[in-house]
Amino acid sequence: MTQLILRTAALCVGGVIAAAAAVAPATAWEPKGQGECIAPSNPGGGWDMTCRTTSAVLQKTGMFKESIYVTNMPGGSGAVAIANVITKRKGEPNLIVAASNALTFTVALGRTPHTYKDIIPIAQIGAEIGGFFVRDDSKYKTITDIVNALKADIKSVSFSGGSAPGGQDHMKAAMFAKAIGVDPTKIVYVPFQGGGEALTSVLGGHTQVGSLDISEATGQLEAGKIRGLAVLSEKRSTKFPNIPTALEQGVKVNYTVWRGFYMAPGTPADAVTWWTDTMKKMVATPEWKAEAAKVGMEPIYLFGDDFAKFVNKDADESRALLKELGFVK
Amino acid sequence: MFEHLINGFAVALMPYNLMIALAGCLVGTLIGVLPGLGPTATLAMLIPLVFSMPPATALILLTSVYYGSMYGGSTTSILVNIPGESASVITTIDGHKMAMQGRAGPALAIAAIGSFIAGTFAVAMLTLVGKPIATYSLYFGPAEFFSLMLFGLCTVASLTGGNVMKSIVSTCFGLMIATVGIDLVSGAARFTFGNPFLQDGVDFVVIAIGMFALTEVVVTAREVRSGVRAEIVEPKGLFVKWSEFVYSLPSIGRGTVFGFLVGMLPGAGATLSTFIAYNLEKRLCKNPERLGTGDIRGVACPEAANNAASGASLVPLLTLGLPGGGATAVMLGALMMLDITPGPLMFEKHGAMLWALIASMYVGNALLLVLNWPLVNIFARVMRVPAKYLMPIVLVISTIGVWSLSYSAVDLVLTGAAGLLGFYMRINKYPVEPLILGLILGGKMEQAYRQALIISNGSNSIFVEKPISLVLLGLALLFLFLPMILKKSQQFNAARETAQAS
Repeated sequence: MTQLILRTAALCVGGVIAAAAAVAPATAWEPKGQGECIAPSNPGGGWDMTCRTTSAVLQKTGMFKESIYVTNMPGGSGAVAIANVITKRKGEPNLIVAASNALTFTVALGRTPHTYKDIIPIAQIGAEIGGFFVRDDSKYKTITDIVNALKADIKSVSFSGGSAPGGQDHMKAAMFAKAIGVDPTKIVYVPFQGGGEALTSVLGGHTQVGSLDISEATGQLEAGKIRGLAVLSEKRSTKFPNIPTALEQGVKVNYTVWRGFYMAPGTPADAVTWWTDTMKKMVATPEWKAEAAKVGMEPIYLFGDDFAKFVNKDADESRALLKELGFVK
Repeated sequence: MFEHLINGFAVALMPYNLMIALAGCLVGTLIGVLPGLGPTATLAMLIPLVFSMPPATALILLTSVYYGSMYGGSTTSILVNIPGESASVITTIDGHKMAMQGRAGPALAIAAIGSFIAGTFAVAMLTLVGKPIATYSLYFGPAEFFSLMLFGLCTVASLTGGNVMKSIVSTCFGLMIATVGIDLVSGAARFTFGNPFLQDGVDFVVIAIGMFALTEVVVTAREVRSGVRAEIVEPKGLFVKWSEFVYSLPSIGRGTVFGFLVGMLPGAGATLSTFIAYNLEKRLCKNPERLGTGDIRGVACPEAANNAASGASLVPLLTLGLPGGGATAVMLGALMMLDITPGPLMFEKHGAMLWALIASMYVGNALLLVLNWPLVNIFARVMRVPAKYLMPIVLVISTIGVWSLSYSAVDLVLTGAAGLLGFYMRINKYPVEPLILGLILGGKMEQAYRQALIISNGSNSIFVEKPISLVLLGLALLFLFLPMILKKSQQFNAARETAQAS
């Protein structure tokens, strides 16, 4: 009997300690002082938007008590910022850096000596869906028409996109070519500075197919000036559910443009955990959902290790494809 | 439509919006004055502010800063021979000479008047025929753009009236500098020497500050010491005389029309329009030999052109949702953040707001004219600041301008090098303006050329097969060789006459 009491008491004490231990990590680390978000682009660029929207939502919802200021560090498509963070900002717990596919290409093309293994990727907070778009009066009605045209004469269809060759809009077209069994190095891809210019070229009839993100094409889609032939994601876009996926049409291409953050190497593990959890909570708030919808981001998320694995795989696969296309030796 | 416009005025004239427009015009003028700070960077910096405003007000702020900067750009061009924006490079040619002749006041004033007329014309065109004319910009693909820019480059041959060969050398040097950075087509880094700061290329501001500001400081110091130039230039008359206004009115008209047509093409921009307008002015006006010697028309024409162009670049943005250039691309992003999807349906969905914006542009242009009137007075007095005080201040502001670009020491070193080169060029009478145009157009021109070749599968015949491109190429050849042919025939005639006489 006494034994039982003792055992119960012991269990209780143990339980309390365990409970205390379980609570402890949540209260163990809280950011002190101001936060900083580095946008590796000029103000107004995609990374700048990522930083500003995130810091606004985190402050509005009270998840981050003090202010988070945005530092613009343009240069070399993220190369300057990643070098700076790794060499000068090691272990800073209040610092996050915006990233996206564009950084993957900087890494994969070897424009920086660093890789994702040198930094701590923490979260993907959304993604943009890409697709292929043609002018409303185009003779191409479905993606199959393009496939047939490419198979008959690969030079007969010209793609335009907003990124340099070896960048994401080109990769989408190259992956598409690969998936349908034509030579991806032979496709006609015309690079423009930004999706807007690429879209103008499609509207003017100078190129036939726009390889663009849905958010870039939204205005013209709504006006019926262009048609979407396929989106390159797993599921259809929430905004334009009438555009079928490439997968549905039997073309195996699945490629989304992710947006997220990384932290400096050497950051304490509990600070990394705190930021990862905070990002997880943030994307669930209505404030975030409203902001994300404005810029056309789809709710596709990844956190912590899953995200780190994903970006490393993304970089490896991009590198392999770039090698095949002759951009990497 | 006028009903919409009147409703728009009702919104634009609300005290709060009026205040924001005034603030935007002031900020715009200021960033126009400061070399280094351009409209694109400023608009981007204002984007966070936009979050906290009603959409109509936010748009009024952004656009007023944008066209306001074109008013301010001429100020430093005229006073200290440093263009505040790339679109004001041409203004230095006649503007600064006027200032050295003590006519800074009239130069500043005509720049404001020309800007007002051109800005208002551009808004009126947007109001009346926006959509139909915006579609004309779609005819310009890569091939047409290349030919247009080649045409632009050919105009520099006659810019300064001096040695054509020296102009061409200068242009080529600018084109060479433009090749630094990541090549848009192959993705390869060119001439970056492994430095990530050079991957994005050499900014116009870095070179312009070196070539204009540093050179000007050194040259002034030399001239003041040797007594060629007085410490102070005494102003003669502050405002434009009626006769001067009438004299420059046709130039303003031509500058406005050319500026508008070129400015509406995506990517061509205000800078190209000023070069083309100035050159056409030289062909079309009476007494063209006066241009380049401090002629008031040499200020009126490019200043009208750059304002018409900046207004025109809003036409495709607002009617079709297509961005025209750097600053309008930032505005496209701002529209999205305001939950306005840029596209052809904008006027149907957000009509009230856009009409308020258009109305505010009429108001803003008027505000800028009123605002610039007292500013002319103040700025003209800058000429009375002795050079030994003025030039160090110029040097400090310019250095900060370069540093603010990307906080990179590389930029400062390049500015220094550009200063040395600029000094050499100035002493040896190589014009600097062609170099600047080459630098600005080089990247876009190469890109357009290679885009066109990708489309044509490597065949150069695409440039003559497309009618618009063919016409532009023809004009380019004409402009390049016509002066030489005319000169030769004059010499021939003169020789024949002397032969007959003897």
